[in-house]
Amino acid sequence: MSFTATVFQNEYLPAGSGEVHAIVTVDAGDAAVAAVAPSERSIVLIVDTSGSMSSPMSKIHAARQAVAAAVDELPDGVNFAIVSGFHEATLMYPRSGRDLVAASETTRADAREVASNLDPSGGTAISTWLQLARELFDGHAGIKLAYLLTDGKNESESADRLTEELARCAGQFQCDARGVGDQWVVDELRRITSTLLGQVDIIKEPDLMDDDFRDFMARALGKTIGDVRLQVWAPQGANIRYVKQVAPSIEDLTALAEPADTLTNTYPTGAWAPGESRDYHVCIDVPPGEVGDERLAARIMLALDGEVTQTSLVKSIFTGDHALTTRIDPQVAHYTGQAELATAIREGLAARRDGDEAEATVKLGRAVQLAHESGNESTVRLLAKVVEVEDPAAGTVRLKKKVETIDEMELDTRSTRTVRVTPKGGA
Amino acid sequence: MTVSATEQELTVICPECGASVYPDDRFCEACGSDLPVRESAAPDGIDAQPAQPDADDADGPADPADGSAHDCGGTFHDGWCDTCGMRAPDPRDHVEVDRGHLAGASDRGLRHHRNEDAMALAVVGDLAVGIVADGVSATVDPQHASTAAVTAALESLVQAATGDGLHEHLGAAMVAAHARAVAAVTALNWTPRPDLGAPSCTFLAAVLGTHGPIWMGSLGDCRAYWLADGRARQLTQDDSWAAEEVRAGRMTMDQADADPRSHVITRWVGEDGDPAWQPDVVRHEPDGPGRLILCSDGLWNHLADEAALFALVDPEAAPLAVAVSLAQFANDAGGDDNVTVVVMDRPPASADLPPDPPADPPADPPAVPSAVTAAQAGTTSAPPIQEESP
Repeated sequence: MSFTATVFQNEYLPAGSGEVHAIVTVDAGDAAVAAVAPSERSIVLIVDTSGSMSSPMSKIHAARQAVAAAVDELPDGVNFAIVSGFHEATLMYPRSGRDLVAASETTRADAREVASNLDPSGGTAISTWLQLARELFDGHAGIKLAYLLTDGKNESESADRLTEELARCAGQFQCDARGVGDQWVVDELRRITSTLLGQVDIIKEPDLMDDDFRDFMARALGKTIGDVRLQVWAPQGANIRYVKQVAPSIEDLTALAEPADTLTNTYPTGAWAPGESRDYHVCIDVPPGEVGDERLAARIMLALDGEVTQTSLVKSIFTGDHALTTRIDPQVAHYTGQAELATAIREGLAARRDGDEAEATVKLGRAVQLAHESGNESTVRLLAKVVEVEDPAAGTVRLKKKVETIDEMELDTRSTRTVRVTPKGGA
Repeated sequence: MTVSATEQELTVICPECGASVYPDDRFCEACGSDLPVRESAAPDGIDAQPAQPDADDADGPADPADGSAHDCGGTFHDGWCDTCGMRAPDPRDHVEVDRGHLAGASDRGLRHHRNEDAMALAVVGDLAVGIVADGVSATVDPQHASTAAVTAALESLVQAATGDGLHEHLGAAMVAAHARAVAAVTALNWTPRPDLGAPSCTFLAAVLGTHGPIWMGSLGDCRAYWLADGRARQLTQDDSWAAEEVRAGRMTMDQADADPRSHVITRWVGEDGDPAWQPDVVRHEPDGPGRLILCSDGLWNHLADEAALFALVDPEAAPLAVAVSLAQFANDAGGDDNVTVVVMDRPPASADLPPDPPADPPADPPAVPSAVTAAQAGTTSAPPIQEESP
């Protein structure tokens, strides 16, 4: 394995302070990774079949096709199942029993036929869908990924039930979530993917569903390392304020911490593919030091399937030299800006929904400015569907009079996507 | 902690990959490169170099403090306390070297986390060699630069001092020693950082005998002072923004000192230095005994003028006591920077010694190896050197 972790930080702190920031870039590398046996992969497709999927009918038609297309991508031997979700969950395939089935010529053909029979009716209770997926995955080892498609809000159960089921699912499998159309709730799906280490996205038109299912299958089948964890050691008296993934998107892992020993927390990052690269922002409060003190603020360890393979150091060096302490690491500055960008978008959209136009203009203007100066062009484009941009560098915008709900949801859904530091000029 | 040279574990570094190798290895165990065969002319002990890597690197060599207990109840591991995270004490935080009439002291000071200064001393026959380098803060691992520079320069000067026609060639030897220092610093293995420059340091070397001129080579803002006849005289010029403004007649020293750029060094030893830079070579011909003091800016920053230095030095004290007391003076004055002081005494010329080197130099005198120690300095401003002729 050739996983590497690189730390970027300004380790110099003024005396009396103790807030340490570091960006950790984790690269999976391209080293040959032992092939994953098909039986070590499990995939569950969860499709919303509530009544709303029939209005328009194009949604359920597209879902049937997309599921069939995804099934076609399954290599022989990979375990899979298809779950139909409404106000309860039904195991559509396999047709009997309560377990996954290995893909083969026969099971793929059967599954395609089942997909063509998906029929919408009833309400939406997503906790039941996740519970069935969890039970199906139970007893299987290796890489376990689910894909959940819905078109509506979780209206047939209390929010607490979903929260409780998510807690049971955490660490058992990973789950991507997709909302089709504009009647679903971004925050609901984001809660699912944040807890289950997946990606959330919007499918704006039913005919885009097919491609999205195939993309999911390609990503899922590309994963070769099932369980990568960050272990963060911090000294006695220190506090790990947060651990966030910041690239390719912002995911706060802080609440997912599990103590490994009295000074070390473990944070799950899920399955990785060769060549994958992600950035993490770690913030530690160490006991304030005196000039001349040098303290290890954190050891960042990578654990692959339980085995620690790499250790990187985050330091705190206390000095009276202002030239050193006032420097901000470019990586830390960049991702602090990307986090502010995501927050500005969400707060700006919330203010807009609440009718506070002044606040919405300020927040979304700031978002345009941050996205522009960091080179986050795709976010600039999404913002431009919600505001008229007059001066991106200054963040001068006007709210659009008429904004499509789906454009607003797209911006919200993708607000956490980040770009990496753009190299400026040559050196 | 005090470490004398003889107690130091001296290690050689592979010039290709930076791994530690044994002095008599013919190739590097880590990367397989052929190691340079050292000229037999090099006296014993001079080919030893201080270890470059420190405990900063997780995969670096084990830290000497490993396994020892820390006051907090934890244990040091890889150079850090496994409980409270504090760094293990660094032997280079305070270093003293005593060679009788040649001695040095180097100290971390009170406000820097690391000693980035380095010094190297050697006695070769009736010659004393002293070298001081101050690592430039805001560069990557400047303590490695200063250590590499003094080590390479020492080796070069000891070879020169061992050869024939010494005194005529010592000016050229200063230039050669500087070139070796530049090569050694440039060859360092280092990881670039966007916020820091290439490893760099200042450079000051001096050779002093029982008779004949004193030779110095300087680049940066370390200084040499000659103490004799009831006063101290600065023999070198700083390569600093302030010194250059004053030399160019654009400012008075007071005006220049008030500028925030005053301490910015204008020349240094490092990969990103100008290859055309040469050290200022200073020849000083004293007419009697005296005391040469080399120091980093950690000392002279606290000195109002030359008289202030003279007043601090007890003429009866031995060189080591002088070096230690001057370093202590800098710490008492605030300890804002790393401080390094090398003291080189010229004894009274014996009546039967000729004033000039003999035409037929004696057979190679036995070299007394000397010490290389280092510590770094934080902010450095290093200025250019000046030439001084008596």
